[in-house]
Amino acid sequence: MKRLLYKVLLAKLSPLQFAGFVLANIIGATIILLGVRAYADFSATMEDPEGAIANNYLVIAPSVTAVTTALQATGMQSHPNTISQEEVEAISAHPGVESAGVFRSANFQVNASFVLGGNAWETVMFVESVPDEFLDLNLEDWTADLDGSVVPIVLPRPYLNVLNYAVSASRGDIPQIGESLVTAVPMTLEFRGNHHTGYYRARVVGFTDRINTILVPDDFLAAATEVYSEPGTVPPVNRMIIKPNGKDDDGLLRYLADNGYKFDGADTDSFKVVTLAKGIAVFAIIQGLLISLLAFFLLVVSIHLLIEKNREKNATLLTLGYTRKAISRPYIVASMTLNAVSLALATVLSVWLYRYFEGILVSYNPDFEGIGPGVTLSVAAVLFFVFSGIHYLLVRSQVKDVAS
Amino acid sequence: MREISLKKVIPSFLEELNPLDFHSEVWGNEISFRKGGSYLIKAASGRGKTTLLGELIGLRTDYTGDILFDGEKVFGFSHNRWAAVRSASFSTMFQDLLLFDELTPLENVRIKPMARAVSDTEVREMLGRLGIGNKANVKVRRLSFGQKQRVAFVRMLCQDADFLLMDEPVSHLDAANCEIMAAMLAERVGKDGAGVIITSIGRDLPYNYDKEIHL
Repeated sequence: MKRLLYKVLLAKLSPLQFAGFVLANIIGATIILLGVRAYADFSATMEDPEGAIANNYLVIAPSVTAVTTALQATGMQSHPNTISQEEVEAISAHPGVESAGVFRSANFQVNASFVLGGNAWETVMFVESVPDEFLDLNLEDWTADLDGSVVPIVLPRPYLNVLNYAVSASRGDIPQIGESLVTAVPMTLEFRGNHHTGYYRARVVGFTDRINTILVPDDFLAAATEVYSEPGTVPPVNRMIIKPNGKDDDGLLRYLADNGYKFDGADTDSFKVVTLAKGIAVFAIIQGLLISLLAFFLLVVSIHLLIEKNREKNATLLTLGYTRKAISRPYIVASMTLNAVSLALATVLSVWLYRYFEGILVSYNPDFEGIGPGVTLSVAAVLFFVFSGIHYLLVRSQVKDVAS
Repeated sequence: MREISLKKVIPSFLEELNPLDFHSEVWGNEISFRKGGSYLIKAASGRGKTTLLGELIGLRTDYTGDILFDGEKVFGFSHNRWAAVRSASFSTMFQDLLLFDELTPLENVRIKPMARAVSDTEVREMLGRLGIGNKANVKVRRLSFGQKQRVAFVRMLCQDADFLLMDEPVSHLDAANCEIMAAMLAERVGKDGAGVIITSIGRDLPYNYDKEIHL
């Protein structure tokens, strides 16, 4: 009896229409499944403490644009772009931030003099400081006062590289110097401002890759600012240093970008690549969803037309004693079977294709470990239940309408 | 179900007429059909024979008055309740037969719910008695109307039911086939005591009716 019911109701089923659906759904669902798995893998990379920017530091500053340069040049804006106290608080309070500190700049004149290679050098200089917790150094001697102790200085390592590989190589009178030699060179700092002039012995104690400025201890610069800056002036904050907690790197970087900050940090490049890849994955998922939705629409229309063609048969079956539920069943089973077949094929295809993609990722990053095909199966199951559920309701409603 | 009662039922197509203009033992009157009884409902065209059968199996609800099954009003029966009534209490042979052209006579019998009690051999034997045993596996679309009428009759006989309803069952059959059908119907009723309600426009199934009713 059941076999005959299927035979009667599905006799006018159009194989071409349903083959079209299966093909389109395989393509759409394969793209979705590939996109979701790639997105999940990229997200896992971000959540890995060793993966993206977690446990690294970001140095952020307002973007310098042609407009801000022009405003400063014409005197319409006296200070370079600065970070207000409210912005400092907002950034510090962001859920992706573990700790944040501001750069303290010397807003008075600083000169440095030293002897190197038998020549005396004197240069205008700038110094800044950050809270001690953000330095990647042995901090044992990282303190000074204004009473004559030697001021420790930290230089960015790239500066030394520029000196050795660019300046020294192109000019014969400047020797190449190593890090140990630099730390041995005595130096004198001259601070001038607020009608005071002071001289301080100084020495380079280390180099950093993290922060791109000349650093002195924070407590020393705070004390010097008290003395040498004009009374009543508060040094503006131009840059901040942030330690992300790794819980919301995506949100943090998006927040910074949306608010016009540029940022540097050891691993932001890889983070940017991963973020871009996630964007591409989302784009692919949307494309796949569109294709699958169109395929689904084709299936819905095909079954709809089939039920309409069977209008008389449906009514006859009702007259013979069949319930609407029983009459709906063959249509629903046909729809679910086609859905299941196309999604199963798409799952197999996407798992197979992803192996090649995974191979490419591993060739770039040998430590890469994918999260496996579980997510593919889960998403395929969700797609099956969502599409089948919607179609079940549509068919029941139409059969109720036709067979009433 | 043991009894079907109609109380002052007037179908919508008769509502606009003056009751004095038509004389019916069914429409606007009270009448009962009992299980085990056999009823021939006679009427000219347009008096509502098919309408009456449609009302009894819940396909038509455009009437006033009440229809009761064992004293229970059918008004408000759910869709599923009607499905159960159609598949368990009534077995119907429709005037337009309602066969599936793409199925064979055997399959047309089998597709009916509750038709499992009869074996394929028995079905073939019944078709054979009516002279279409060789058509058991031929698609119904290739049969004449008279042959289809015999298939529909066999399908009706194969379902267990309290009442057998037939709407002009022999309109395209010769006297010999009418005699065979009457004999088969009597055998079937003899087994389970079903009630029989047959409509006729003039050509009657030669059966031993308890009551002849003019619609």
